[in-house]
Amino acid sequence: MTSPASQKPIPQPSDLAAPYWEAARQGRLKIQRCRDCRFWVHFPDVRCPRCGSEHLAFEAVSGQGRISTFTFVHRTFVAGFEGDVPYPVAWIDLVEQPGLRVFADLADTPAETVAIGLPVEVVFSERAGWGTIPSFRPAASGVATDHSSNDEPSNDGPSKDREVPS
Amino acid sequence: MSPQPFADQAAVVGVGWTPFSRDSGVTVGQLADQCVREAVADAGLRIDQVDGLMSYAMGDSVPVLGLARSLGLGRLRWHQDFWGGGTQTASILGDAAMVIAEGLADVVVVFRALNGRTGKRMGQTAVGHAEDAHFYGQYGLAGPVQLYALAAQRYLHDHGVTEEDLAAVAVELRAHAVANPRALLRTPLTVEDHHASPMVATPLRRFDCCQETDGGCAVVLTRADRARSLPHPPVLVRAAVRGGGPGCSALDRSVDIDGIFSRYIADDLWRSSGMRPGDVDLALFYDAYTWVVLAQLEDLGFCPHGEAGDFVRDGNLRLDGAIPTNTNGGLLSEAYVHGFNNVAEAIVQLRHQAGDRQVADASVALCTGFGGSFGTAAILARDDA
Repeated sequence: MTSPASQKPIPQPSDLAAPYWEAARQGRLKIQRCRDCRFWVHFPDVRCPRCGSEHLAFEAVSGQGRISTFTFVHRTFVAGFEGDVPYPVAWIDLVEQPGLRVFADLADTPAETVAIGLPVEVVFSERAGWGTIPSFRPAASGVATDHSSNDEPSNDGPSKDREVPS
Repeated sequence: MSPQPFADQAAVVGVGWTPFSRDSGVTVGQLADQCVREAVADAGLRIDQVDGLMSYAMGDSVPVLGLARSLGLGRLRWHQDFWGGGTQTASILGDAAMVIAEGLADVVVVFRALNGRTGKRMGQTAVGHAEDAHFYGQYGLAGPVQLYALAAQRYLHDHGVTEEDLAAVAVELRAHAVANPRALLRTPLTVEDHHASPMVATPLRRFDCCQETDGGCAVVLTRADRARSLPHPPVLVRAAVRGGGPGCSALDRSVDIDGIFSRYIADDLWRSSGMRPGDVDLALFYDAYTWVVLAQLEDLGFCPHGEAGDFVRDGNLRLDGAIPTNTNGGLLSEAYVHGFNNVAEAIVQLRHQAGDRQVADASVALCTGFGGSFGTAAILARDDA
């Protein structure tokens, strides 16, 4: 680590992950996609998990999705986050494809509104020493447009129970 | 029903422990040496009769050949280091049984030793596999508790599990530890105590998470026919399974992010053992977290899906319950020797040497290992069961 202990870590991507973080630095959410079968792939991979193709490239996504699951971290083991506890992080199901999921923190999201199934959209947060990284906040338009089939248990409508973290 | 080729061919004949602590003051090698010597003596054998040595670890222990040297072993006929924790425990007895059944070694010692508190601490290790690591740290996520808290949150949501259900597991297992002199946490726990314990990562509180411990456990196995002439009642290795699938070990792309290993291995376990849940007298579930005990009870068929919380609250994990569970207090309350202390407890129970916490007439035990959606299970049985 080159940054002092009080600094939050910056992305240190592998070659495979670098396009994701470089796009984020430019304020865009891009996900790896198979050029042959058009399957979205995340975390990035050397080979399409669906068709086996090695022809993969990063493409922009809508940034719309729903919270698949989340946690509020109360006891942190990551330097730079000590003053933020408790803070929420979440897996977001993106609307582009069932099971396409990205990990990020939740910005501008009141704790009592954080819930599995909550429609969210990508925003970009400043990370000192790097630039912007993806975060998510409640979707301005309410329910995210769902381009995918609705076989995900979390995507069963806006009346989903709200869980209040304790 | 087709038994595994090694079924009932090998028996556990010795067991040994170091003291459990949060500050052993000795090296991992010394812990390993101590518990192995104790286990071999308990078996009524000599160190120089050991010709097989196996362990599992995650870069936090002594390699088996390092231990062979400190034990002063001469000729070894089989040695093996496995990488993993919950993905290897319990089923490693199956590996030993295979080696014995094939005649590759006669006396196999299996151990797990770690300075889990004062050495490399599992709770603060990086999480995920390879590529994942590039996506978690910058958001403040590190350590298995946080990772499995994400899976737990979804598990609670999808299965209607409450904080009271989690507390019930912690309370019931602590009650067992009270009767166990070896256990590190022996103060009785109430639901209120559980709720008052600090949150680590929602929905998991401190008392939903296992301890970090310095300690070691070892067992000795040999052929079942030879075992019958040794001091203790032989404990046969009847079945062992090790497997899994996407589930919570692939949060980025699995369709069931709250799925743990037991969902994947249940069918193989019952098919290969020729048993049903009702045939098991006690269970040693890998209890790294309270919620994974609930999931295992349901996945493995000890209670219907959606009913584990009530099942626990109704006293079914107690010594006189439907399935006495983690009678040592488990990893939550006895100690965290990466599951191997739970295996050791199964041996003690099947020998009927558990004193105040003995399950009456225990003859068949289930031991499991949780490593996310990959894991293990083994069925151990008395010679007469």
